[in-house]
Amino acid sequence: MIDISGILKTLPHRYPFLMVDRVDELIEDDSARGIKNVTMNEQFFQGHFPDNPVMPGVLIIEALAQVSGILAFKSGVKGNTVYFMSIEKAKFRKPVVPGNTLVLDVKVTQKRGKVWRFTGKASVDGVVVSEAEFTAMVIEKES
Amino acid sequence: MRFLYYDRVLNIEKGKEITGVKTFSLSEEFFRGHFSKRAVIPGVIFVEAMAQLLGWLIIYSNDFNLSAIMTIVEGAKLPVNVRPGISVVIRGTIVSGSKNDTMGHAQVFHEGNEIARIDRILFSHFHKTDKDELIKRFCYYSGFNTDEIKKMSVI
Repeated sequence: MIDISGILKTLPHRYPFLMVDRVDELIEDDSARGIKNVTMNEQFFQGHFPDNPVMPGVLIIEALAQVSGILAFKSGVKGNTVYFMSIEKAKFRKPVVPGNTLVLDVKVTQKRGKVWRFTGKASVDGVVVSEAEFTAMVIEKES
Repeated sequence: MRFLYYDRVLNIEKGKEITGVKTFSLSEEFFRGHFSKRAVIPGVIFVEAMAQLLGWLIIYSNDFNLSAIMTIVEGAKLPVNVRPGISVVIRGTIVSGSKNDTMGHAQVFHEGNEIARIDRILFSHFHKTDKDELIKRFCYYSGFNTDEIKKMSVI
């Protein structure tokens, strides 16, 4: 298990753009499962939407990407930043609302040097709310 | 409003196209955390910006009688390492539509060059909406006069 201190040591992301609270399972070079607790105190609920709090789909994708970043770094990739390059496909099936715990499952499907491809699924109470295929680039240490 | 990712609508053409502008400043909150030592625009923010403008185009094209929710994104290309201080123009186009959904595509330009795009983005229509509230929000966020918009869309 990687707790929040471990995540802060692994990823460069910080409040208010850190979208993973804990990683429960991780198999190097293969897959990982993380969680993100969704609470009304999130900043984005102030505007998305004013009287109807729904977690923005792009932030669910971002959360999946951040778990992917942790997976890459824990698999021995040197570097300190992961950038999104493309989203091949993303589906948003159900709204995610305050009180939900997002379970974020990611799997590596391809590795080509610095460019890694992943599939990810976000679920709430065992029901898939969002899924995505995306590629990310790992950047070696930069100033 | 937090989580608004365009600053102004430059042009909107019913059923066809919308263009808007978004500037990026280091004072935006997400730069505190993306990343703490080096501010970089998160790629998903470009996806959100394109989706917000296309969403409004769909709502506007249907005279504010419905709302639109992004359900599928395909073929999104995002820039790596773009930093605050830039201003981008976002263009969204409606490709096809039915009673229940609308398909579009969108691009982001910086100084005339495309830096991000979404090939296919699908929105589901959502009919339970407050028309006056939608008009008010659209005008406020986009820099339009409410009376003008009310005249343009058949109320």
